[in-house]
Amino acid sequence: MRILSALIAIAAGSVATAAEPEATKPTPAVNDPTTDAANLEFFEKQVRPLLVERCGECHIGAKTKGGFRLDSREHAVAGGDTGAAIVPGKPDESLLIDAIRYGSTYQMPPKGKLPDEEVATLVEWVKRGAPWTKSSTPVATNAAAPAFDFEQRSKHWCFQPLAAARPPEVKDAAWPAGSIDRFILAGLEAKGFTPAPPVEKRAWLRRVTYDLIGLPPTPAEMAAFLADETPQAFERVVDRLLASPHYGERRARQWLDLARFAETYGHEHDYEIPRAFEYRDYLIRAFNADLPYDQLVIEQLAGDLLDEPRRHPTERFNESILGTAFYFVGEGVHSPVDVRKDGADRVDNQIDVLAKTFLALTVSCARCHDHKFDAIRQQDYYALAGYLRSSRYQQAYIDDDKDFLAVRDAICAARGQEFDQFRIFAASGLSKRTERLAGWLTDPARAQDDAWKATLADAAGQSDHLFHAWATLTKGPADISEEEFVRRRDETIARLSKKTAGDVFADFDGADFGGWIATGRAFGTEPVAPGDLVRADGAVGGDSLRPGLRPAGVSAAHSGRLALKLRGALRSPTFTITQPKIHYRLWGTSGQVRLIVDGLQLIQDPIYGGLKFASGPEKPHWHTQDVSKWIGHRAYVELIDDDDGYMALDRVVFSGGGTPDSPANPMILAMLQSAAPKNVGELANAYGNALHQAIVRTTGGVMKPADPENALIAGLIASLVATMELLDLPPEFVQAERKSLQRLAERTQERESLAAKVPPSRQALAMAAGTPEDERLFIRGNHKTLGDVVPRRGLEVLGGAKGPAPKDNSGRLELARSLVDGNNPLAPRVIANRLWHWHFGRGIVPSTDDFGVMGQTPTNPELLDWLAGELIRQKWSLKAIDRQIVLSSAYRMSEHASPAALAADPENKLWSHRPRRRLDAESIRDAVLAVSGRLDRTMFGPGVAPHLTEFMAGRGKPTTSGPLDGAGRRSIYINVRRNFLTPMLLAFDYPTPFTTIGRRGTSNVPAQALTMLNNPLVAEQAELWARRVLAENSEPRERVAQMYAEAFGRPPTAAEQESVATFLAEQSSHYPPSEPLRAWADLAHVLLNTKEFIFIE
Amino acid sequence: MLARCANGFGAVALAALLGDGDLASGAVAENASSIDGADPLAVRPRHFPAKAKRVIFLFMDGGPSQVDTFDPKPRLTKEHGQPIKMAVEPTQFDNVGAVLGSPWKFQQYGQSGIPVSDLFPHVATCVDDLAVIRSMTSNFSEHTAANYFIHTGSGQQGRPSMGAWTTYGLGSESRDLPGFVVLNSGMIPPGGLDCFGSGFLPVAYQGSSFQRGAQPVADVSPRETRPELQRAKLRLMSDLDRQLANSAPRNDALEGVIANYELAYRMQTSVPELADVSRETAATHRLYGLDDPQTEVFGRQCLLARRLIERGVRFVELLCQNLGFDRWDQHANLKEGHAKNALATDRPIAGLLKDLKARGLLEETLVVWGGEFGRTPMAQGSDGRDHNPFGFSMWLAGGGVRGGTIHGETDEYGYHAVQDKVHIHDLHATMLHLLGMDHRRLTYRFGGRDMRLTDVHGEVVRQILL
Repeated sequence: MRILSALIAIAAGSVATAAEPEATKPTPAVNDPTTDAANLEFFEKQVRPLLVERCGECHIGAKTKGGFRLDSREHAVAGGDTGAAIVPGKPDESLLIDAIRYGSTYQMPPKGKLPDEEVATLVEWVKRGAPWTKSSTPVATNAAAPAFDFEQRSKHWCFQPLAAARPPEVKDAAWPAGSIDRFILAGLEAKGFTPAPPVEKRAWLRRVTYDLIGLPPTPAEMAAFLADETPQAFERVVDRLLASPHYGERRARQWLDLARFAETYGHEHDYEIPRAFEYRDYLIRAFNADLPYDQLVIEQLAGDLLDEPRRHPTERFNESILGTAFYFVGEGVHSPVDVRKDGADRVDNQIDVLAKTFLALTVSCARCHDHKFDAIRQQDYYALAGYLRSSRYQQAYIDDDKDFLAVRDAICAARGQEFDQFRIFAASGLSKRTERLAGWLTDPARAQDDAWKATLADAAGQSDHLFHAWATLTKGPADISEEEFVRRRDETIARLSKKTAGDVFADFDGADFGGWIATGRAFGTEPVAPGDLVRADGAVGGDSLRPGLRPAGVSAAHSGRLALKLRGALRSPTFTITQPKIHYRLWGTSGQVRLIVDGLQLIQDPIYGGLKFASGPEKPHWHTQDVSKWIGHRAYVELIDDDDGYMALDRVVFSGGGTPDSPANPMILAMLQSAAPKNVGELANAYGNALHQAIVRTTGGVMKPADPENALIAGLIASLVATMELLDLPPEFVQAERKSLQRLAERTQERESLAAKVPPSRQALAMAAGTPEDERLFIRGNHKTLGDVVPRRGLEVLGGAKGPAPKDNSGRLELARSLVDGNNPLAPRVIANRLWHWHFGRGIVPSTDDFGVMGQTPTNPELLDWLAGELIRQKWSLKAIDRQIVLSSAYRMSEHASPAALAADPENKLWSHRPRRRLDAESIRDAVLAVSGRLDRTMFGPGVAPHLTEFMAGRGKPTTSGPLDGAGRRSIYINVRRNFLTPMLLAFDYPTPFTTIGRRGTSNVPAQALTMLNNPLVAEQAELWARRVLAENSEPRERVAQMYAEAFGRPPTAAEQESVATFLAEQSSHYPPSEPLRAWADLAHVLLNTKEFIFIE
Repeated sequence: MLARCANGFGAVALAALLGDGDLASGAVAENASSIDGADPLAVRPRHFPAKAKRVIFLFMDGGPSQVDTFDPKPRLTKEHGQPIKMAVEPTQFDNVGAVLGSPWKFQQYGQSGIPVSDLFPHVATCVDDLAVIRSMTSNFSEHTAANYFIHTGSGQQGRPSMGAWTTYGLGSESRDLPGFVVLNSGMIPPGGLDCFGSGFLPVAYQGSSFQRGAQPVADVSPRETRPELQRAKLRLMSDLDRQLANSAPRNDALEGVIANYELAYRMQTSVPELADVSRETAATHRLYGLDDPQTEVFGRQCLLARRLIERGVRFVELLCQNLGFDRWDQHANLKEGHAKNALATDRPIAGLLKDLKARGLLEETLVVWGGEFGRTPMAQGSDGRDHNPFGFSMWLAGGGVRGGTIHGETDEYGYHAVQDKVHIHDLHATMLHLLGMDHRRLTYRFGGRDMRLTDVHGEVVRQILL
């Protein structure tokens, strides 16, 4: 009611002002409909009440939606965030009218369409020029939203440069083990607190081992540490753990939480993200190698763009590019109805994860409006979106080329020999045949020759066929007049000279791919030119004698030039779809053509179909794609040959209609034009001469790469090979021909055996450079209401607006470098804070992924800046910081806080002690495997299929279940299926992978207890453990001691021995004496269920 | 108060529980739940008084057709086979054709005279308790995104489900069962179990999927062949835990985990007890359709839903039964598919409504029926309908809903909602309102924002409130 009465007041006020023109005496301009008295009356009586009633709630008053205010004509015409709302006099062009008609941009009012007569009233009003009574009082400006004060917002702590913090002086000089401790102790001393006493060595080893490698210390490690009484004992442990390959597994798993890592796309069918595990392995290797953090950032953001990528030390593949899978291990949709929106959602997630992971900023809040709190404008969001629009998904080819280059050179040499032999073969018979061609063509026997008739029938329909002209000009009765013949000839010349209908997007006639980008090896570095050797394929017609290579007839992008085994991809520049049809002239035996619209990855061909198709059959043909529903969208064409075959694409044409003509055979067109035959006889002679000369030139070795005449000769040879069996020759020629053909086959065989030696391609999920382009701002985050283009740049608050916008490339590499160039305080602060969080269970900034206004402030800002500075001083070595942290006295504190500190600082903000903590999900599972002895320490490779239970239901459920114990592998190696996450891990707060989770929850749900109590895996491992202990030890108390050592890293107390002995006795009484294992298995199960097992002190 | 003792109340409680053997005792549980103010399922005060205490969501996965159920459109029959005289929106399959008249007749029922098609003769007898919303709209034309949307208010994966939000907002009155239960009748909707996830909320609010059968919850059956074997183990565990707890300073996390074993232990009994409907009367069995193989599956789930809310569970969602085809998603075979779906659910749902009412439970239980979107008034093929998020029907009953109401309308084809549109966000706002929560105040800080089920949208549909 309150709103309603306010509206009535506005309406009343408006009517009151309507009575005022008398007082203000505006002089109506002649012919100005907006001030015409009748029109004003119409406005006041019919329009204004309607606007107030129907639109007022959202568009009149202090808080107006969409920035659109209906309180004055100026505002009404000017419109809101999406621009002009009214074109006076033109209802059909007015957004307001479109909106009340429920158009595509807005449907207003949102709750329901206006009655037709009200729509008609507003249409009429706009038609009349939108007359509006002038108000005597100036229109108040929209005072609802305070201005975005960038300067003020930029003063937030996290954007300030790193303070040159020096470790403070402390009173208790004995306590600090290093600089970190001086910060901590100074904070405690300032309040008069003392730090908690250190933990025992046992507890410290258990703590640091879980922290650094996620596994429990072995009894042997414990014994060695306890025995080492030197001052270096702790350092020795830390150095051993940092050098352990399990360190990388631990860190990588923590990083995967940031990257919302999964190996399937989730959504409806949970399709695979191919080769996503390579990213996991990349991280493990990178952390183990202590890859400097600045490089780790650059590689994940732009590792595909490095001129000199980092390579695997032994296997030589490109490591750097693997980092970019970071962008693509999120959710994916197979058949979005609104592709543009889906693309925008994917980019949103990428920006969200990128900004949270590396900058701890919630940039994606600015998708719809300026950030509510932080110094991030909507422009910042779309400036970043441009980088992603300029980049693409790929399955990258990551091999080192060294081995391949030798094979490639050998194949090239073999190709030369093969072609030489081909020329000999051609000379031995083909030139003879061409000499006799004219006579053969005009022989009356041809009329009864069925094979020849079939050839002509084909040729008549194919403008690129060698005998197309013959078929066309000689059709019908033999005795056509010369006039008719000449008429047909000129008509044919005109038709063949005609350019292909439609806009040619690509013809591959140039020396390079013309802006298309080839990756992998299959497509080489340039298109096949006419005359280049290619596999004898459909391009040369149906040929029974085609074992090897032939000169190409047309230029084409070709993936089988060197070897069929080679794999690769070729991607077009990004273009806007403006015509309803895309035609592809192509052929091949394998590979796919895909149209990637608005970045939509084709997980499968969408339900509505039509976005991807196979290259085949081998005969050149047109494939027409109906893209009418995508007009106006951005897209690129992608050719992917990931099989042992080839694909060839001759041209891509955009048009509004039917299939374009195939290109004419250029040699025949030239022949018709120069010889200008007037009858059949002259045409036969022209054929004979042209073909003979061409063959002589070829066999004489005239043919050179890139010779423009190649096209003629190639076409000729191709067709002659196809038809040569039609020509009779004396036997001796045939014999010679067969011999040279035999030798040719041998050469071909040699080349093919070399081609078979092509090393296999290694591929991985990665990003690729696309066509550089900027994104437009989406007004209120709506992709249908586009604002201005926002040039690509980094965040303004981080200095991103200063640099020039990139031109020739996306600029993504520069963006990545700018994050870690030492000037940006966020990147080092964020990772330093994460390291602290990983070791202490809480960050110095507890909100690890949000340093903005809505996040939490640092409890120890000087320490945070010192750590961040130290990371840079240590050349971004994460292990160096790890080492300093875990060797600190602060890290060694026990849970026994001083009562004063606990009372005054119950949240432990000053780090006066270290509360006992529950292990994370993976550590619990891994520890179960470790103590049972089942742990298989194998690293890397495709994940182990998850074990499925009946409670893991839904579409995309894998058809087979993995082993119950995950083959004993560490949890990080269980295949992460977004919709089928492992229940045991989920119960213990394994995060749902959809955005950056730097800080996992530690919840407490009955599923955890039920898992430990009744889950078959835990029971199975308990039994395994008991079995092993029974085999290794015969004395019951020693067995118990061994189990305690393995599970808890300590001996049992006397009371515990007592309790256990009683239990074993009682439990054994329930089981047959022949099964001593069962009571021990029960004990093992109990020990796994004690809280000590899943808590670290 | 006990919780502040170093001893650890949880260990004491479990030991006591094991000693007295009264596994279903709620008294001990009540105390255990107050062990720590941070108990995620502790009952929390509402924002304002409200009738509804809990929700039963009958999720009609796949999208039932509005024009064949609750929104009669004579124009479809009149123009059957003709091209639709309206702009056609893109759909999932993009091959919709001519107008398709409904194969079912509508009749008016009850005092309110709400028309219901012949698909639901039993539910029709309850129309005076229903508020039928004919003007639902959603943002997505595709199942998975639409499923995430109706469940979580976002089309993307990984957000908290409304059951999780409800439990987060109100806690749960059950000490023996999870607060948010999903009864899996055989078909998991596209989008999978993430439709019922807790997203960024703590995992305690996640929907627990109950399977059909004697062991509805994972790992709920003890592995020990005899109860005393497990008791002995738990006694030792409790003993060892107490020795640990005695040696360490008080630690809430540790205490919480110890206490948790108690609930887990009780669930071993309470869950099978819940699933055992043999003690329900024969009349009740008949009411829910347990006597007929065609209604037995969904009927049992409806009965379980009642048993769950009787035990204090906050939010129960029922999923569709696997009838051998693709739930309500009839791109083809509309007649057969919708008829079978309706047959399987009509009597059980009516039984549920009547049973709740008879027991005085309907007043405080909000029942919601509907799918993630509706279907096109145009035919896909000859006998199918494609997805239509632009206007479709849902109904609400009980819990403060004004029965016998029709709210909103679609155009003459039943294609677009045109009057009193109710967006999914509005539905969520209304559901929370009925539960006594202001959807704008039910927030959770995540990723630098105070997140809401309704994002930045949502208006309570006051016209359907009592």
